[in-house]
Amino acid sequence: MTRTRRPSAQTVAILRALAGDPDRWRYGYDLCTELGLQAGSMYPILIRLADRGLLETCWESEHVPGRPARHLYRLTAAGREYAAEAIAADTIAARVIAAAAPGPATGAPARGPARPRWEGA
Amino acid sequence: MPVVVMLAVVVVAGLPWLWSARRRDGGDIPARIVAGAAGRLPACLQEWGQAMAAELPQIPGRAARWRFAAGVLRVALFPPVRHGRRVLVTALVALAAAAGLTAAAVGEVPSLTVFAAAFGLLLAGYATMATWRSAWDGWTARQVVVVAVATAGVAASVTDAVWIAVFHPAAITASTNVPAFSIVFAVLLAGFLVAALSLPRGRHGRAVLWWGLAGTLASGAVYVAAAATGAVGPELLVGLVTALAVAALVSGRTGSQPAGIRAGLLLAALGAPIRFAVDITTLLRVHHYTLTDPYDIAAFPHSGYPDAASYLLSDALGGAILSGMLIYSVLTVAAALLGAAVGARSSRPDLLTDG
Repeated sequence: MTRTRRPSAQTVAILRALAGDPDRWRYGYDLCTELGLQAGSMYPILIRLADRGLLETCWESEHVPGRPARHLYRLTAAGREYAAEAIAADTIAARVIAAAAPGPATGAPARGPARPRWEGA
Repeated sequence: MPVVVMLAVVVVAGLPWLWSARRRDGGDIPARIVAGAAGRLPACLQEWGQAMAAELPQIPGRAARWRFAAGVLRVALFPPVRHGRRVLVTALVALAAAAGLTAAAVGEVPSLTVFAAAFGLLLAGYATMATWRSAWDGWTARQVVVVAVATAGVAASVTDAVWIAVFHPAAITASTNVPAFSIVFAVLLAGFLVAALSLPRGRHGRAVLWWGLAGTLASGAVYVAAAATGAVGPELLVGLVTALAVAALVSGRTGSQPAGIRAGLLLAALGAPIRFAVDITTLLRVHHYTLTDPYDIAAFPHSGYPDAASYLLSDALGGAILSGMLIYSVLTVAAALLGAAVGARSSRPDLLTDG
């Protein structure tokens, strides 16, 4: 039986960004700036997702003077399914953690879930 | 003083390379880091290296460019783990082997315990990293060839050191710098293995490998001939001239200065252990330990060594590690930098094309 590890918070964030507009091709630095992730964290996740067939890649066909063609990414059909499952699981986990966390005595809303530990894609 | 001279030689030799690199990419260090790091990714991740390099021109601001370059460097050094269990098993087995090697040294050749522990740990780390990277690439025939040659040279060097530790233990135990020399010896040998594995990778890898190997075999033949005939002195000169020639040839033929430098460095990594082994083996084979130098004759009675053989072998071993490996490597790096710069000026990339 294959063990499926829960994706990391950063992976879920990338999946969420890509699944937001699944037909749109995104490029790496665009995702880095949107999610506030460093290249050293972003690219290993993209590489793993592509290696598992969840991400399709292509090179920009439009030639823009002054810069080389960029590598573009979007989710495959399998990737969209995986993203939907991962996002749903992450949302449920966040709700469970929020419900379990003791609320402050002042009646202020409980704090959000702790940032999950990095576990790889 | 020798360290200052060595550094000066490397700096002077490296200036043409730094100057040409600065002219080539407009002096932008992050671009140079990204290009270099992307080129060091495993072969099947090369497209990702190009993808990261293609992002850099649109990144505004020096700080953001530096952050991005640091990220690319991180990916190149530690590409994502594939087959993590295999890497973990390799690491555990290698650590167990390192512990076994150290335990064996404690029992059989206690004077080499520090060396065995340091060398074992370094090899364990090397094996883990090699498995980590080869999970993406697999092993190519050229890597097997170069690792076989490197391993043979390193194994011969270690065998010589063990031989001395077993038959002339005082040559090591009576020395005052055993831990320092042991660690330097271990780091150099492990470094040569790592260099041999990594240098023929990437663009122009085939030219780097075969010319580096040819230079190593040619200079190795001269070392053996010199040892057989008793000629003294040509080894260093031959090593430097060969590194200069190989770097110039590869740089000129491929049109790539870094490829020329890598070929010269490969020659240094493969040649240094061979030179060490030839030197020490010759000394052990001659088996003629007589003090002839006036300084040695005066110093020996107060040295703490029980016999002339231990005194001379200890001196030879330390000299072979420092001059035969360390200084030889640094000078060969300088020769490779100079040779590659010369070759790049007369570049004819049409003569050789390869991946």
